[in-house]
Parts: sequence; C-alpha cells; structure tokens
Amino acid sequence: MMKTLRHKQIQFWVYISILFLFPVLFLLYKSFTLPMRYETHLHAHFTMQGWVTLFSENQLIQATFVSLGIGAIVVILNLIVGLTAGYALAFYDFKGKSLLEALILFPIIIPLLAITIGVHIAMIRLGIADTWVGVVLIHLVPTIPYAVKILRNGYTSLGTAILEQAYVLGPDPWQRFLSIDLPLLKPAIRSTIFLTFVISLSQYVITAIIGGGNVVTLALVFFPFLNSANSTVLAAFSIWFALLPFLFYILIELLFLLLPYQKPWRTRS
Amino acid sequence: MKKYSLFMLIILLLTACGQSNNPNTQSIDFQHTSWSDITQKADSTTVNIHMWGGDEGINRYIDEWVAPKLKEQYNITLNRTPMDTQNILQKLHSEKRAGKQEGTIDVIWINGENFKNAKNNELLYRPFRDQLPNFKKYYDQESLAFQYDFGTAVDGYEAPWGKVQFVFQYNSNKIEEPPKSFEELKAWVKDNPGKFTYPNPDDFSGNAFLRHLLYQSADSPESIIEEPFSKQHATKHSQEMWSYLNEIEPHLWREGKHYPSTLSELDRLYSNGDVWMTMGYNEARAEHMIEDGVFPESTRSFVMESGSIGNTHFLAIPYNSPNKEGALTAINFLLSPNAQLKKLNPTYWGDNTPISIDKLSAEDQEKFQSLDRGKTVLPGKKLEESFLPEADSAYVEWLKENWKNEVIRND
Amino acid sequence: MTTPCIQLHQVSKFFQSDPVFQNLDLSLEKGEIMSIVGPSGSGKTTLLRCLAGLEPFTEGRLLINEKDLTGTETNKRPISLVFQQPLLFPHMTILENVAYGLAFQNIKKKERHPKARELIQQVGLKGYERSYPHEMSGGQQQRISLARSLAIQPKLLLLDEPFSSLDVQLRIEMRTWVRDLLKEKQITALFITHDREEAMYMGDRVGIFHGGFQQIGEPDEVYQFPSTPFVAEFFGDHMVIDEHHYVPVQSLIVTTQDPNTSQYCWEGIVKNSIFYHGNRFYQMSLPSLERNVTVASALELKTGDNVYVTAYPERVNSFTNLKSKE
Repeated sequence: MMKTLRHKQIQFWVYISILFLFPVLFLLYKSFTLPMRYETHLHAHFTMQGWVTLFSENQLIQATFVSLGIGAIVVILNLIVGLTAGYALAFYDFKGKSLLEALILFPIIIPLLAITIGVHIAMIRLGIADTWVGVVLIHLVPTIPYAVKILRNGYTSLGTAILEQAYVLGPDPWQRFLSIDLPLLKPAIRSTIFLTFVISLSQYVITAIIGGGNVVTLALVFFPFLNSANSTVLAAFSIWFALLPFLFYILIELLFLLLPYQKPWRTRS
Repeated sequence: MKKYSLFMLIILLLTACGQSNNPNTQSIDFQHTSWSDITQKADSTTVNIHMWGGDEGINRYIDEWVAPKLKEQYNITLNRTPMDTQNILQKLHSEKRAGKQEGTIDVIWINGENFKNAKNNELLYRPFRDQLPNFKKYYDQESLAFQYDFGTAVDGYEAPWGKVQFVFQYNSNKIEEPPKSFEELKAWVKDNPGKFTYPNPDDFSGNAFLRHLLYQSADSPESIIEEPFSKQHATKHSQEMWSYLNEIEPHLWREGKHYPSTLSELDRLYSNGDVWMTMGYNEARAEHMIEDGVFPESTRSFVMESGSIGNTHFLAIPYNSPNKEGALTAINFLLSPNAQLKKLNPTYWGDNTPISIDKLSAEDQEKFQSLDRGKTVLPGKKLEESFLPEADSAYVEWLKENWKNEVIRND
Repeated sequence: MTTPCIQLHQVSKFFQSDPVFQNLDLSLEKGEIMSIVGPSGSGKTTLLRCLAGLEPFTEGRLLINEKDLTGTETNKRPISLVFQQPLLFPHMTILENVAYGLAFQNIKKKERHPKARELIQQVGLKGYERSYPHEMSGGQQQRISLARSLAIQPKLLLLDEPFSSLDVQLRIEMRTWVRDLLKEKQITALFITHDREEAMYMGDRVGIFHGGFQQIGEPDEVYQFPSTPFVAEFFGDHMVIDEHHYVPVQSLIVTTQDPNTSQYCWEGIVKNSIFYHGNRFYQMSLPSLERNVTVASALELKTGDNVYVTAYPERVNSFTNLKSKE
C-alpha cells in the first residue's frame, strides 16, 4: 500500500517535470542565453538582450495594463452571463432550451474572423469600433460559450437540492449566492476565469480589427514577434505573456479568500 | 442573460445591416494647397502610423529616431501601432462599408498584393506622391520601380520608402565558394544532401525563391515581367522550374518530406547548423541576425548571376485618415535623405534606400557611400547590377497552388 | 379552544392541468407531530415542497398562527425542511452548518455559535464542531442536518423521509431519538414516510395520503378502522372483501375442508409460507376475490394445497366513511 503510494508520487513528479517544469525552465533558460548554434552548442552564452529588447519595446508596460484591464472586464462579464445563463440552463425547463444551448455554442463553430468582420461594421455604426468597449465585446464572442458551458455544468453537478436546502434556512438569493453557490462552484468559476482570461489575452486579429490599433493589447505587441527567428527575444516575450494569467490567477485566489467560509489554512483531509 | 441577448441582438443586427455605401463626402483637396500651409496645419498634431511590428530594428528606428525628430522639426507626435497590413486593410474595408469618414490611421506601410487590394477597393487617399517636395527633389521620377508595384500601377497613391533585394545567406566556414547559378546550386545540393531547403511557397520568402527559378525557367526574365499574367503563359514557362525542384527534392533537408513553413523555421535550422544556407528578402538581414546571435559570425551573402529580385515598399494614406496634413508631412520626412540614411544604418533597420544618390548634395552622397552596411551585405554596385523587378502579383498565388501539385503530390 | 398553529385551507396543486392534490384541509396544534404516509408518487413530497414555498400552491391558503404565508418567499417562511439526504454544506464545518440559518435572523454574531453548540450537544455530537461533513457518518450527518433545521426555531418542521437513506437498525434508533427530541422541544412537525410503522411511531396523528388525505386520525384508530379500501390495504392488516366491507386478517381462519358455515368463505391456493415472530404464515391467493392474503395458521400446508379461508360475519366491518354517510 505504502509502496504503491510512493510509486504514484514519483510517477506524478516525473510527469510534472516532463510536461510542465522542464518546458518552463527551458524557456526561462532560453530567455537568458543566445540562440543555440552548432559552433557553441556546448556552452551557453548568457545574455540579457532578450529582456532588454522586451522592455525597450516602449508600449510593453501600457499594453500589459490594457490587456489586464480588458481581460478583467471580459472575465467579469463572462461570470455574470455564465452564472445566470448557466443557472437557467441547468435548472429551468423552457421551450427551445436545446436550441438556445446550441446557439450559445455557435460562436465557437463559426470562424471568429467572419463574425468579427460582420460585427465591425455594426460597431462602427454604433461608434464603439476603435474603443476598448468594442474590444471587450468582441472578446466576449470566443469566451461566452465556454463560460456558459462550464458554469452550466457546475450548476448541474451541484444540483438543486443543496440550493433549496440553503434557501429554506433563510438567506435571500444574493446571500445564498455568496455563501453557497460561489464557494461550491469555485472550481468551475476558477476554470472559467482562467480560460476566458487566457482566450481574451491571446486574441490578436479580432483585437487588431475592432481595436483598430487604438487599443494596443499585449497580443498586438507580442504576436508580430512570432515571426522572428530570435528565440531569446521570443522566450522573454513568452514568459512575460505567460506571467499575466499567472498574476491574474493569484489575484483571483486572493479575492476568493474574501468569500465567506474560506479557510485556506485548514486543508480538508 | 440580458447582456447576452443584447449581444446576440447586435450580431443579428449587423447581419441584417446591408451594405449602404455612403458617398465619400469628405475630400479635402490638397492639390492646390501650398506645402508650407500643409506643414503648418500639421503642427502640434498626432500622426498614427500602423505598421507590421515584428522587427525590433524597425520598431526602434521609428520609436527612437523618427518620432523624436518629427516632434523636434514639425511638432508632430508620431504614434506607432503594431498591426499586420492585412488587418489594417480589413479594418479600412469595414469602415468604408460602414461609411466611416473619420478613421484612426494616418499612415500605412504597404506594397504588392495589399496595395492592389487597397487601390482597387478605394481604401487609399487620392494620389499625393508628386506633391511631396522630397520625392520631387531626390527621387527618380521616371523609375519603373516607382511606377509599378508588383505589376499594379502606382498612380501616385503611395510613396517609395525603401527597397529590399532577395539574397541568399551561407556559412562561410562550411562553404568556401557559394554557387553562382541555379545549376551550381543543384550540384552543390546533390553533393551535400540534407544541407539545403527552402520555405514552403505559402511563405513570402519561399515564394520569392520560386520566382527566381521561374525567371530562370523562362527564356528571359523579361518574358515574365513584361507580359501580363495568364495561366497558359505561366504553365508554358514553368516546366523547367518544376523539374528542377523535383530533381533536388530528394537531396533536401529531411529528403524533402517536409519543408519549413516559414522563413523563421528555415532561419532556426540554419542557426542550429542543420542546413548551411538560408535566404531572405532583405540584403542586410544577416547583420541583425549575427548581432542577435542567431546567425553564426561566419555568415555571408550571395546572389545568383542570373539576378536577384527586388521590390520597393511604400507608404500610403488611408482614405479616412483624420490628419492628412500630418500624414503628408510625416511621409515627406521619412523620404528625406537624412531619414533614409538613418534607415540604411545597420544599427537600426539597415533597409536599402530608393533615393537617387546622384540627386543628392555632394556631402550627402559622401555620407551614403561611406556608410558601412556590414560585411555580410553585398556592395551596392553588385546589388544594383543584379536587380530584377517583381512580376505580376498573380504569380504569387499561382505558385502557391501549383507547387503543391507539381512538387508535393508528385512524390 | 385554541386556534391551531398551522392551518391549510382548501389547497390544491396542479402541474399544468394535472392535479397532484386538490382541496386539502389540515390543521396542526402547536407541538403536534403528524405523519403523512403514502405510496411513492402519491404527491406527499409535493405537498411538503409547497409548504416550504419551493413550489407555489395553485389554490388555497396556508396560515401559521393565523398569519397568511401563502405568498411568502421560501426564505421568509418560519418553516424548515429536512430532506432525505443530509445536504450538509461541504465547505463549512459542523458548527458553521448548524449556525448557517442564524446568520439571516436577527441574532447577534456572538450568540450564533453558542446557540449552534447547544444544538450540536443536543443531537449528541459534542466535540465534532470543527469537523467537516465528509468526516461524519450518514446517521451523524442526518442529525446535524436536523440540528441545522432546528437552529432557526421554525414554527413548522418538515421532514421528508429523513431516515430513508439509513440502514434499518439506525433508522429505528433515529426515529425514537428524533421523536423524543421534537417532543422535548415542542416542535410542530410534519413527517413524511412511506413506511407505515415509522408513521405510526412518529406521528401523534397519521394522515394516509394518496392524491389527498384518505384518512386522518390517531394511529390505532386508522389502523383498526380504515375509512377506505385503500387505507385498509395500505395501512392496516385487513382483507378487503368488497368496496364496502373488510375483515381484519388476524380473524381469518384457514381450513382444508369446506366449513360450509359462513357466507364469508373463499377457496384459496397456498403460494408460500414464512415465519414471522415465531408464527407460521401462509401467503395464498383467493381467485374469487382476485386477491392475495397472508394468514397465520398452525396447519401444515404445502405450496399448491387447496384451502378454505373463512371470516366470522361479526368480524366483517364496513368502511368508516360509509358508516358516517349511512
């Protein structure tokens, strides 16, 4: 029994190393060394050039904040839509429910660019093209379907019973949402936040078209560099890019601590 | 839920919205405005230049040199936004359809197919080039390179900013004498199996590589350049090219089973020493690559005796630029000898100039000639001698399609 | 006479146009426990959900202490519901679970935990305050669930088959214990079950429910004097002779010869034999009544034997609802 547990632990760390730790460390290493060449492949040349280039990109910091801000709003809107629509789809029966569910998945099936080009004209007429509002709205297209799907499944697996049980004990809907729904849906909410943030962060073409260059997100600065053969700069950029969701994640976890009934220091055995 | 239905409504609305083309009401005509009036109006304005942003050398040239100078000399704030040209055109296209007369872009960097597309869809501001004092003064008005852009008549809709030429790079530690012709290249490839490949023609550079072969395959390059594109014509003149490509295929990197899908991929192979040659549509690109440590120090470049294709790239103004005076002033500045000299300097971009050296002052001529572009860049004379203009841009698509049939499916 | 604590006036529930129950009247005195027993699908859970406010009544009124609560939101009703499953909140400790409902009442923060502790002690789980639900057994969880419902001091406690997920032994322990606790605290409660023994044990009165109340009364009375054939068969140990008459099973006599004595005599075939509390019982079918009946007998019978089942006429009763009409 002990042996197999130990064995499993070792297995776990081996997989983690191969699939996660090694690539990340390698990326970090690459960002500090000159690209490998056959003449120099035995000894690495340390360089700060990747990071210097990164920070000399004068729009980097601003673009990072723009991306964070847009990502945060997109996440919040997704949670609002996802939680309400997810609740309705999980617990209510109404005519055309399956049709609505199919419709919600539509944006994933239809090419995003096609939607964007169509939406763009409407946004120009509404006067929200070239603004962050437009960019936020267009980022909802590829994210909402996931948010609704994930949170709907979250509510479905939660079931009505425990929510009714809570309701009987006296909280109003908002108190119940904070004390029961939110803590119990935390895994689903966490996935939604992370997924929608990453999707929003990595939208290049639709941001470029709708934002019209007025809204410069990190993707706009970063993606053109993907054509560059300089792996040092690319590595530095990639790490910076990956740092964002990570930071956002930590921020969200801290926010979660403010919820009622959270005891991070007492782990459940 | 409300939010979502609102959003769905918007999506539905726009599909319902037809294409109503508002007539272009705004058309400021600068033809009869004096240049000093234009620069005066441009004073203390902001000019938004949208351009491809994937090269730090180019970005730094704009951000660190051009922008401060424009501020200093004309009190113009230059705002660079990284954006692919295709996306810019997509945006302009939608704005045109929506009848938006006040856009956000003042200057775009454009050529080839994109220019053809923009011109045909009337996405560009009226012809302005011949109004620019610097163009009139320092550029060869008659040059074919400025009259046609990949076979599309320029008609003054864009002003030449730079030019590049296609060159091959090789590692001089591995190859003593680079091939002088495609015949010699074939022999070299056979002698050094796995050490050469070229990017898939879906890639810009890979496609340019094929066009060199196409010129060679035809009786003379002129028969491709001067004749308008037709499928029959293309098929007739390409037989030799396809057999050449099929002949070298088994000796390519990974026996030709896989081609690099981008130039970056080929560059990485070269950087790792997997192949000994790479190529690119920029005669000075190796300088950067060495400096960044991507290419080995021993990298040198060469062109074929049969010639090297070059093209000019241009600056243009979108039809709905909110600051056309500023755009004109900025473009005129970018064409100036000073700006061109700085652009040629390998510390920034190292991009060749379309300026006519002999029209410059003696002092400026001296500056251009004494500029050391680096040991990997071929001498200007050599480049100029081998310069071949681009043919009709329809060849680009034709090559993409037919390469798959002739080379990939022919295995 | 005091007015009853809980009153239901002519309540009905329809799903679309199908009635679940119609025109029910019911009243409960303070501290009274009433069992509602019925087969599954009889609508008893729906009645409970309507009382809790989780579903609206289609018609009728609910009064508690003469206050009309028919349109009141679930969370504002002084009614608590214990479900079949304990449904403890997994992210809270036992103490937090029990104190949960107190947070929404006008109770000072300081007083909530002592109150919850007291209840936890009363349900016999002192010392588990800081444990999490998943660390508790099924019976313990159901007790905590009960404590949580009692914490808000409901005017009416609804229990929806709360022991059905427990094993038999635990069930018997629990019902004794829960009844004692409810009585001690003077809680007015409605207890739903499909187990008639449980219903008889728990309820001061029992209501036999099948699309409405068939009969309401004290357990003995309902057991011995069923008012309808349904009650006689479902709740009592009676054999229904026809739609007007029944006979208690224990007064049936089994013989192998035709006694030729009574008008109430039927031929039967032995199906099966079982022992229960030391007595031998035979299951037999009575083809002429199209019924099966289980009767005690000292006779040695084999499966397939032909027998005669006789009832003394003085033991044959009429259903009570008919009597009252007569």
